[in-house]
Amino acid sequence: MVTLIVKPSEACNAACVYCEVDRKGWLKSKIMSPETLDMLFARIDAFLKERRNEQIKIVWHGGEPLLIGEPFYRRILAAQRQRCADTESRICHTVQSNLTLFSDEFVEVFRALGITSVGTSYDPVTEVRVLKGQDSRAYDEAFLAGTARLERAGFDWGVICVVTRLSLERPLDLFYFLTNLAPQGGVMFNPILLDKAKHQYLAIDDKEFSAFLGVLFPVWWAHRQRYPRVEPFHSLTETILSGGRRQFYCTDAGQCADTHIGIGPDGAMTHCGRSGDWGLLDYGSIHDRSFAEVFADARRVELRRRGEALRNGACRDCDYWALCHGGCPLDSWDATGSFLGKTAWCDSRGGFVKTTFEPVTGIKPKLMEAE
Amino acid sequence: MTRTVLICPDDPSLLGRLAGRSLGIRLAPSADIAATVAMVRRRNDLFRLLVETPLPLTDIEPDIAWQGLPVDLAVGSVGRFAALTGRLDALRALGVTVCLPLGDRNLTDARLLSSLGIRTRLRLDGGTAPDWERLSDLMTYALLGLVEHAPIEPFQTIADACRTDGRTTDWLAALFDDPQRFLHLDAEGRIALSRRDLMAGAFVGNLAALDSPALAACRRQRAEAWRQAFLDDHFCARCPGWRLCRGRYAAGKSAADGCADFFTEMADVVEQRAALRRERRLPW
Repeated sequence: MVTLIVKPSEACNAACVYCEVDRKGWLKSKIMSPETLDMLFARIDAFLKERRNEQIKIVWHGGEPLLIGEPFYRRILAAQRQRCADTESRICHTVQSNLTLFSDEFVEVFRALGITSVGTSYDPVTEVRVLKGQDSRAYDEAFLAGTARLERAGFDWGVICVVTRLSLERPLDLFYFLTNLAPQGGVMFNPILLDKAKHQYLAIDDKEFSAFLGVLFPVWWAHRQRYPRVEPFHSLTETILSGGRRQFYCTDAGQCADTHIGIGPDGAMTHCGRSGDWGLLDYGSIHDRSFAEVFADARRVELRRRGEALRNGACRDCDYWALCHGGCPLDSWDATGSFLGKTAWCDSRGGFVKTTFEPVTGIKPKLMEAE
Repeated sequence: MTRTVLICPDDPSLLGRLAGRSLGIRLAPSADIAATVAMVRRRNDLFRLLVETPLPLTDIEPDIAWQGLPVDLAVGSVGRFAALTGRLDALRALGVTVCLPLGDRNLTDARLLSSLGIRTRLRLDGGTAPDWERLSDLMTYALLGLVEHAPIEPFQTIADACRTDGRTTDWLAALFDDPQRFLHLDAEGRIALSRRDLMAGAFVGNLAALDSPALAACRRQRAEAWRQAFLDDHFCARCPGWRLCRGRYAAGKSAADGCADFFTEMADVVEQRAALRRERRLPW
């Protein structure tokens, strides 16, 4: 499945302390035009007609994608119906929102788009997430009201918690707080991705994140039936039990050169959502290039060779290669300025498996060799 | 939404103003049960009879008119078991559920009644906190005991309703206190969202508001009020027992007491019970 991370606007009603959307230094405050939206679905239709067995997942991202209002989603629906009459059964939609603006007016059009679950992120740590001009309590009120409306309307939601230095002392507090909210889409703990030297009060490194996970994992493992979808534990366990054949996230699969495209409000195409935030890997405009051309771009070809290079180089002696395939190339770029190195978050995968997963579960991973 | 059940007194003038409803009738043991049931069933569905008295069970003579009716008999205590000897068969035969407050002696008596095949219901409704350790013993007996015994509520409902898909479990319906399903009326037709609200005189409307959007919003707000604990970052929101208690004993607390251990333990017991059932090693 190909994933399109589409940012119809980069504007946001929140000002979270670790937001990366404007790392590149220039925010695209404009809203995706009807022409660009139309071209998006024309490109999708052409791509799916070329690849008869392919499916496309569109992640509506931002900024805050609900800030542009319900009429925009009606235009999405209309554009899809008009441009993708023969292929729309192979298109699915999801939304990554802070939920603070979710209102009943979105319900009907989300259902029409086939959306059953909304992704969000939330951190029960004071003053990490704030609405612009307000405090974190206003954010919390709006967020919780959004989850209530979603559940009333029959949508599931899943939540990402960004682990910062402020979270490190209370892992179980965060775990119970978030799982007690009972999001049916699950809870995912991700590390904050900030330069430690520049953001000392927030940034953490892979060892600190691994230690954070190490406090949670024994609790999750003992009660994994009670907390079925807590990540990265669930996916890591499934990946290990599959011998490394099943991958759940783009950062682990080592295949993003063939699966992901990021698209900005003006139709600028990039590698993924994160590279769009960082202003990296510009593949040109959707008005000028097809998805097939983007996937054939020379930089993608180079990224496809990254796995082989790592397996013969930096990751040669790693027993856990099949778990992460060297991790996200943008992690490498962030640490070294090159996309071709391994992730700087090694310890939260292989290191975590060795120091926590294996002793707690008694499972010794038997992972397949690199192909 | 499931059809609303109105829990109301057996006041003829009130019942005369209700038609086409599902009713739970509160009445005294001395009431003319047959006449009340006949009156209710002429124009309404009978959900349950809630026979209420502050007297001990030993002072209540089982009424043959309860035969075939769903009856909850709420008493202040059980009294001396020796004095019950002649009535146990009748209580069992009539299928009566004996409802008890959470006093220490009542926890022991609930176990005895259960072991004698009489269904019991404990008012674990967020009011006075029980002796959590003793309640934990009783809960373990109710859910894991291998010897034949009658169900003890709300444990039975919690165990049956508890899900393994990450959701929390709301079991207020076992105490007829789920505001989305039950409303409590006084003789004047004033509406409360729970039995405790009724006793405290906290009303949200009257009969005229019964089907109003305002009352529906009020009920929904109460059903979703659990989120306030998360907004306030109350320690209950970070408690491993939340999944079963949902902050029911949060009010006025500044630190966890035995409730956290109790509901955490219960989550384990419920899962253990489910595992035993899957293995066909059936707890009663």
